[in-house]
Amino acid sequence: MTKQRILFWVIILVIIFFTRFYRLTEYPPHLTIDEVSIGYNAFSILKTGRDEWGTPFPVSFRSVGDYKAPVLVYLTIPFVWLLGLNELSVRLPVAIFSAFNVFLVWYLIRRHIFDHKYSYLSYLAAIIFSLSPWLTIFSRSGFEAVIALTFLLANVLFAFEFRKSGYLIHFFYMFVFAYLSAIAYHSTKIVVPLLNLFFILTNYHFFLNCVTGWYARKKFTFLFAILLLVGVTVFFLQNFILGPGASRAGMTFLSKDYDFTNGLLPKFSGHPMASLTSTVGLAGLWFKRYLEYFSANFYLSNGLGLATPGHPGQGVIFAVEYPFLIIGFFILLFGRRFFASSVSHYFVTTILTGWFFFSLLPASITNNSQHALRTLNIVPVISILITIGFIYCFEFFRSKLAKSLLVSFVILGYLFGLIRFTDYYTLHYPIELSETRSYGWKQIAIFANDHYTEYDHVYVDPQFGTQGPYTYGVPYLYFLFYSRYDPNLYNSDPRRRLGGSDFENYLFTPINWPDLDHSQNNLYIASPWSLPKEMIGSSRQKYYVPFLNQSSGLYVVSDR
Amino acid sequence: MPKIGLLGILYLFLVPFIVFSGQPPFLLFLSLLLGYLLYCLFQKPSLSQFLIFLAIVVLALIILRPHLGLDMGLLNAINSQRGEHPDFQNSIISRLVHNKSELAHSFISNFNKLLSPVAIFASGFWHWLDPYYPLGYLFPWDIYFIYRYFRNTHQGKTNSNLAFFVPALSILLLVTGLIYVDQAIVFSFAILFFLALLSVIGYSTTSKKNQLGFLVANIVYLLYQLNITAYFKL
Repeated sequence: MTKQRILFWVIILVIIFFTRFYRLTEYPPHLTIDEVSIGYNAFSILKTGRDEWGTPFPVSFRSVGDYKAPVLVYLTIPFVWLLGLNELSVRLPVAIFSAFNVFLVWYLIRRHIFDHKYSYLSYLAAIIFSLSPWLTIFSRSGFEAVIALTFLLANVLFAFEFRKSGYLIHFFYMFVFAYLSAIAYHSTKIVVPLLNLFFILTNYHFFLNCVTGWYARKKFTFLFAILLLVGVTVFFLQNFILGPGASRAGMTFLSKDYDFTNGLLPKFSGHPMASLTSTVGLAGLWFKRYLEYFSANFYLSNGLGLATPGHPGQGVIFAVEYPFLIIGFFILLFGRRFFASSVSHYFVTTILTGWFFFSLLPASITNNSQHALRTLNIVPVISILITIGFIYCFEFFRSKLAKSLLVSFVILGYLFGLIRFTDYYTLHYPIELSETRSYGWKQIAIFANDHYTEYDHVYVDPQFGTQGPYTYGVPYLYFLFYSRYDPNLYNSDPRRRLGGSDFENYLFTPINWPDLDHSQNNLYIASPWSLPKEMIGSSRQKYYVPFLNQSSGLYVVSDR
Repeated sequence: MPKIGLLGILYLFLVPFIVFSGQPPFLLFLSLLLGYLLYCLFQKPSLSQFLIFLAIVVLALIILRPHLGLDMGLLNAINSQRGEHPDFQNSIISRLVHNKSELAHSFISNFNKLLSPVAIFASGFWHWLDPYYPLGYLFPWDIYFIYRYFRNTHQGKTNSNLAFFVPALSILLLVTGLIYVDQAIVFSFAILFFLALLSVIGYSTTSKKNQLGFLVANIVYLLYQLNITAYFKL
């Protein structure tokens, strides 16, 4: 290994440490509802072999009704066993997989993407990938999309290997990782099958030759592999496409989007051919949503949503990368240079182009515009395009002075981008969005756990927020998580069997103060607009957790 | 370079941003002229055409008397974010990150409304019609024709040909992002006309049958939109 390579690896490892692991439990400063759900379900499986609803080893976790993908929950179990149920055990698996993604990206690019002459670019691409703010923020929280990306990278890696070698074993691994990716996160259920079908269709003759060759040479192995793959496919379709997974798709489909239901439909309903116009309108909305991923604001201003809407925020890439991304995109569409020719330039650019465009599909057919998490699969391609754009500009300039100026500009741009991103991620994001990202429930849950035995009932209002009851949360999981409540007791509670979330003397219900029986000594956890004004600041206020923007907070008051 | 036939000219006349523009005729004429000059500079560098281009830009600016399209709320937001820093008056980071350079977000926002791909092909006309209505400045399938132009017609052209095109395009982009959206339309329409010309050339590289088919599709699309927009009056 040359000194330069060692230096590159040291840089990459330092970046990985600071972006993925450094103060992992402190930034972001609070677990999301998804993280506590994943943690508690892993804890429940570890202790009882059942999830929080009592289902033994489920393939889809019902949780708060969103039917979570199973892979991350099962991967979290050894960490919970080793470290206990806490923030670190929930976040560590994703951080480790995210670190591993960097090595996978480097290996994939070095071996299959760039021409041998440009193989050194794999290090540059790996650095760009590891620094990506898009990936960093999701790597530091329990997001399944990061795990799905790992399997997608392995899937693509084996697709390239298979295209080179034609071996059945490579095709088999390509298939296995495709399914693992598809069951790890909802958006890969669309991206992975499309990308793999695209791969097979664009290499149809090669694929057909391989199949006939395998059948002729290894009839038994081939038939066994086919049987296995058909079995896995049936299982996948039953459980993840038609089963509970379908309910998640139904909940988030574009036709449920506010812009469609409240913006377009009411106006179309007045048209004499309303069913036609609303269908065309939905198609138009999808097209609009898809193209929104090509808008500058997603990349430069607010793609990551680290600030209050309307405030300057953070895009999914650094500003300095944007011109290189555009140049790289045009090279991908219209050029061949830089790409490996071991199979053909055309093969590499076709797969990368398919990967790019398919990755934007799941987010565009679901609600919410410009969703950075649902498009996370595209980050490796984006890193490759930025690398190509940069090296194209570098080679475009002939003089050393111009090259030096370009490199200095890029380094300064990255330094500024890193400072800006760190500032937004560590300071403004927790402050400006603490209310909507469930800040405060941890402190409240710990306080309640220490005092709940002193009261007849503990009422917890799931509706909270500064302005009014506009945010509807599912706080019961925070109370289970931070009390490490025995899942056996929770599962067997008759109230749970009826679909409720109450346990012990906790009651999770909207608080309407005049309707409640105040002759008992109850504890109430709520926002200020749910409580009488005279309670706030009085001796009956037992605890208060302000949101970090100091706008309001969560109050704990008692009857006595 | 394929010739633009009668079908191509008809295609050009039907482009949505011309049909729905609502611009005063003289300003629309200036936009189209700027777009055509931009197209000429893209094909071949010419100093005289570049100078005419500059003169028209200056004329348009004199007529428009543009105002900077800065979002004043953004200044408050920048100050608010600076205030979130502990000891913000002495913090180097707060000064480095939260300053007037953040007004670039206003530029991006203006630019997005007029010239992002989503505005061009899917929803540019929201500004007048409705925040949700999907109607772009060009036809959705113009993406394919522009791609076709670059794939079939533009391949092999050298970068030195763009010596005047790049500054001309940069001027239009800069002005579009800097001034109020309503005034910037004059300059964004120039870029749209340039794209429409590329699209028409891409369109002209297809077979006569396809050209006729897409022309019919354009007419149906426009009639449909004209019918639907009656339900989207603000």
